Amino acid sequence: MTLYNAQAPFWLFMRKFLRQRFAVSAFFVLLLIMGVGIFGPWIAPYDPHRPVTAQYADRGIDVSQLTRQNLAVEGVLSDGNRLAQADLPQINVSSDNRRIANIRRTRTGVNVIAQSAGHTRAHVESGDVASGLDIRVVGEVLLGDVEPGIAQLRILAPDTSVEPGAEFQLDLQALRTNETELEDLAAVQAFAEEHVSPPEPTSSSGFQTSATAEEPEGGVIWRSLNEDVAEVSDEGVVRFLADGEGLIQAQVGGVKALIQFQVGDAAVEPRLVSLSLSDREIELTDAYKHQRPSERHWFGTDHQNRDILSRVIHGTRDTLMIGFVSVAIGTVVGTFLGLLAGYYGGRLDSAITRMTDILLAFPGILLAIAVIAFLGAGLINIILAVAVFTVPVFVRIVRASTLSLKEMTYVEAARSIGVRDAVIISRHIFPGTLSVIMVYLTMRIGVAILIGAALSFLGLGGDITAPEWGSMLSAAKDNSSTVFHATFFPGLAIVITVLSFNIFGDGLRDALDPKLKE
Amino acid sequence: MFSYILRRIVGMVPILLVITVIAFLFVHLTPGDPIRIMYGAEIDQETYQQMRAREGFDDPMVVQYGRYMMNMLQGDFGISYRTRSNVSDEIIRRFGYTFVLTVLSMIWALVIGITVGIISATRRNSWMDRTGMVTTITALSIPEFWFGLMIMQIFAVQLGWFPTSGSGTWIHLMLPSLTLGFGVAATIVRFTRSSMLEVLREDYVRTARAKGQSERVVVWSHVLRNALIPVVTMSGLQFGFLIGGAVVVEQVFAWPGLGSYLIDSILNRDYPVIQALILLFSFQFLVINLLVDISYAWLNPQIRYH
Repeated sequence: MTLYNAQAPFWLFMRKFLRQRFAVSAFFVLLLIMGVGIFGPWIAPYDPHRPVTAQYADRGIDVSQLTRQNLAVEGVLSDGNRLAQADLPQINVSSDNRRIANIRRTRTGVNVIAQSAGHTRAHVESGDVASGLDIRVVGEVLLGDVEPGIAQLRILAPDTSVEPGAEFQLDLQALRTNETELEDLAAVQAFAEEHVSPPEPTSSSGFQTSATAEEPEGGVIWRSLNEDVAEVSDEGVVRFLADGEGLIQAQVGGVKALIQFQVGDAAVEPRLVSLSLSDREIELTDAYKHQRPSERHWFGTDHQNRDILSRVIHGTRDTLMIGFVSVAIGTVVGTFLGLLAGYYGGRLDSAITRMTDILLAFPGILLAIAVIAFLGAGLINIILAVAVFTVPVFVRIVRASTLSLKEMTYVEAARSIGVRDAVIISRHIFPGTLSVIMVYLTMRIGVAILIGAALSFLGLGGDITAPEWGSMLSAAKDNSSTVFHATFFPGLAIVITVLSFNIFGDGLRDALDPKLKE
Repeated sequence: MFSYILRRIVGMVPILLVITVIAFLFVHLTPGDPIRIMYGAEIDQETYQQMRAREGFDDPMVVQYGRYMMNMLQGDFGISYRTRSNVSDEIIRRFGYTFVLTVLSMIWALVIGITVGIISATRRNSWMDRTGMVTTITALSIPEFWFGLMIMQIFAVQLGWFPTSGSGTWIHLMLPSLTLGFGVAATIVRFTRSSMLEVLREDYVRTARAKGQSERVVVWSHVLRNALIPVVTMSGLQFGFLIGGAVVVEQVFAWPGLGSYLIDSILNRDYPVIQALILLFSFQFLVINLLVDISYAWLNPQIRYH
């Protein structure tokens, strides 16, 4: 026993339709999109009209978490022990470009503060040693890949306990900010010559100036801090002169390290030989404009720092409305005119046909633009403009199908018993045209959304701050060379929606009337 | 044939007249007073009246329309409200840009469209055919302006092969024309494919195969020749649509053609320009449609006598 008549046209149609997997999945995608359109304001994570930074406080997000980062600084002693920050000599910090990021000393470490998008280096210095770090601030500016700089140096010697008169070559290793190593002096030298600009001449306090009067360009700079005990050549060959504590410093750019030698029998205390930072590569966000897609903002934020995901969700309603309402108007008017033209024929028919031929001769977008030129910019006018070019399509198809239905015997029978024209058209002819109308309706909604989006992209939508997909693209296009996400996501939303309508329409067509196929 | 063309041209005249009336009424029906737009909103009443008389807005409508038509037939489309420059000169200057753009786009569309269409049809239901069909339905769902922004991102910003916008050289023309040709290419693919499939079912194709001709000869000399005729005519119609798409694409790539002129003028209510461009575009479409119809009639003599 079946609950339904399996031969009924509706179930035949359903079975044919369900066989088309693409069309069925497109249908579910459409349901989802419509759900988003209806419930959008409740789903959207942020208010689409206000900058997100103004909304962070309400949801307990601290903006400074994004824009700041704390680093711990540790000293490395010559005997391998570590020295906490509190015990280090005076720490000095400097940033190469303060407009991009600032760095400052705090009680527990150093603090990096993002200012605007870009790439810069910073240095942390304590006594005779210094460490470097790379800072990336992600934001509006497109950041290319930058060669990771040197974070820390380590000087190697065959032996640190030597007799006066000994002479040997020192080796140097460098840790880069991306945690890779430059293995030996030659590699460090090559890297330094290519990527490191020579350090600024430091205003020396007279402590050690004579040995390094002529600084080599770029490259590694060797320096002895205790000239009486040891001297070092520009190539890093060290020679010990007398008993005492030998201290040799190597410097590349702003990064410095020491090595300590015990020459002869002199007693030496462990010394600070390098600085180690808890992070060498820091990535921060310019939280006030064009945030990249992240966990917090899946689609990023736009030029006014509004959440793009929320705007896309809110915009679904307007976009669907442009599609549905304009096509609905076009369908109603077009079907009505098509039925009249097809049923009555004669002069009315040729007048209507002539008009549709003229309208169809124009590409849809230009027709719509002409209508907007008449009516002025605005959402309602976009809907009307799109409706105007939908009308002739429906006139043509409904007229054609009315012409064939008119010849049916049941219509002739109805006419012969004196049924009024209005009743014949509405009860006997109109239902016959429905399947064609349904197919074209779905297909035209996709086209209508495309044209509507194009019109608001051109700035003809009136309110450019509205969260509507076309206007979002229009606003984002000026920054499109540097900010990718602001144009990508609204456009993708359009593509998915229109594609779903097109695939669904294709499936509907095949299920309803295979003859319509191209 | 000649009488057919003549009939079609005569048939165009009333349509053109209707369009000129619409274009003429444009200035009078749209919101905003043209005198105020031209001379600023602050002018006093007396100057306003003087200007109104001088620009001829006080004459009866019919007189104004007559004057408008006379000027237009002499190629004078008036003066732009905004820039006070001669509209005809500006149109002539910009026409070349749009023309080059649309022609190159059409070439792209034909080359890509016909190639993919032939491959799809000859290898029907293969993976290549399926990929082709999926790509075309996707292509038809992608807004031109977004596609433009995306290929600009890839080829101009990331790879740096082309400039992002501007005009002047052939290199500047590449991205805009590809963007514009892309959508039309998708239509041409579908059309070529179905046209080819139709011809492949013909008796003479079976005969050619039966007499042992190689598939290559069958496709190239029997099928293509017949299948491509409707494709080429249909492409003519698509040409009109390219001009519509050019309006959007010009805006994306800052291409100084007629499309961006139209949009700028609409946003600034520069009515003489809008008027002139609407007329020009309409005229273009009518001519294109006429040419397409003539080529149909030339290819299929039955049409001439309807």
